[in-house]
Amino acid sequence: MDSGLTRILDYIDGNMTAAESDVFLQELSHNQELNQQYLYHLNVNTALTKLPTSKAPDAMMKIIMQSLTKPSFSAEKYSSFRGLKFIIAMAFVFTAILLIIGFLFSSDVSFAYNTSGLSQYIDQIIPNWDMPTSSLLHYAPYLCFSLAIPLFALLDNYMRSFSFVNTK
Amino acid sequence: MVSKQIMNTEDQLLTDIQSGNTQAFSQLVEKYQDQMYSVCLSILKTKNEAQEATQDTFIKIYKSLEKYNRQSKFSSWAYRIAYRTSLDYIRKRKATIDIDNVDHTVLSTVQSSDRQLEQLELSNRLLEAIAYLPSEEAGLVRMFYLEEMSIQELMDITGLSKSNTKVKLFRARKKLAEIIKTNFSEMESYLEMQ
Repeated sequence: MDSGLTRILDYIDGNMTAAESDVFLQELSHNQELNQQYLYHLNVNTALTKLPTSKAPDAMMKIIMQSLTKPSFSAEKYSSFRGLKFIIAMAFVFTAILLIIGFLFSSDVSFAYNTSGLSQYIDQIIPNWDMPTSSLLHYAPYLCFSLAIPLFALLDNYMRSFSFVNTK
Repeated sequence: MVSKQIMNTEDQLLTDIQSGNTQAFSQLVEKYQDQMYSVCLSILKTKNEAQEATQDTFIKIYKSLEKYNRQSKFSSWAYRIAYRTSLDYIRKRKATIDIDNVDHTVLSTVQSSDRQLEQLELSNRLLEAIAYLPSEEAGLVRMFYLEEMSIQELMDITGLSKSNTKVKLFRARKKLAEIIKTNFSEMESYLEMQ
C-alpha cells in the first residue's frame, strides 16, 4: 500500500497514536508536497462525510407493505396445516361429486331412470355422453383427486391474498 | 443519553414487529429506506435495480427478523442484508452496466441559496465519481462515509477479514481520489470551499 497515503488516511481517520500524530504533523510542516496531498484528501474526506443519503422512491414503502400483506404461494405459508386441510377436504368433496355424477349417468345404471327429466335434459345438451369405459375408468378417482388438489391449492392461495397480516 | 433513547425506541419497534405489527414495520422502513437505497444504488448504479434490491432487503429483514440477536447494531445487520442482496443482483445480471447508463444525479434540486446549490452540485458530482468505482468498492466507500462505520462494522457487513476489508477500503478511497482528480478537476474548487 502507498505509505504516504496510508499515513494521511490514518491521520484523517484518527487511527494514529499521539506520538505518531506528532511525527506526522512535523513532517507536514516541512514537506510541501505531503502537505498539499494531505489537504486534498482532507477536503475529499470532508465532502464525502457530508454526502447526504439518496432519496428512496416515494412508491417504495407502499410496494414493500403490499408485498408483506399479500403472501406469495409457498410451502412455508402452510405451516399451520389449515390450508392443507382445506385443500384435501375440498379435493375429496370434488372427487366424490364427480364420481357420483359419473355413476348416475353411466350406461350401467342410467337405464333404471332413463325416463327422468334430468337424464333427458342431459341427453339433449350432451348427446352420447357417458363415463369412459376404457381401463382409464379404474383410475378415474385417482385422476380426479390429483387434479382437484392443485385446483384447490390455487383457490386457497387466491383466497389468502385477501387476508391481511395482523395490523394491530 | 439520546442514543440510548433511540436504541430503546428501536428495540420497542423491533419487538412490535416480531409480534406481528406491520404498522411498526412501516415505521422501520420509513427510518432506514434512504440509507439502504443509497447503499444499493452505489453498488448497483441504476435506480430501478436499486429500488428492487431495497424492496427485497426490507422483505428479507421482515422475514428473518427473529434471527436478529440484538447483540449487534440493527443498522449493521440491515446493511449486511442490503449489501449481500445487491451483490446477488450483480451476480444474476446478464450484462455489465455501461458507465453511460448509470443514474448519476440522485439528489433533489429543491434547494435555495447559492451555498446550498454549490453543496448539492458537489454532492452530485461526488456520487457520480463513486459510480466510477467497481460495485463492491463503491458500496464499501458509501457505507464507510454514510454511517462513519468502523472497520469492524464493515467486516461484519461484508464478511471479509480485517486485512481484506482494510485493503479494499484503502484501494477504493485511493481510486476515488484519483477519479476526482482526473475526471472532476472542476470539483477541486468546491472541495476547497468545504
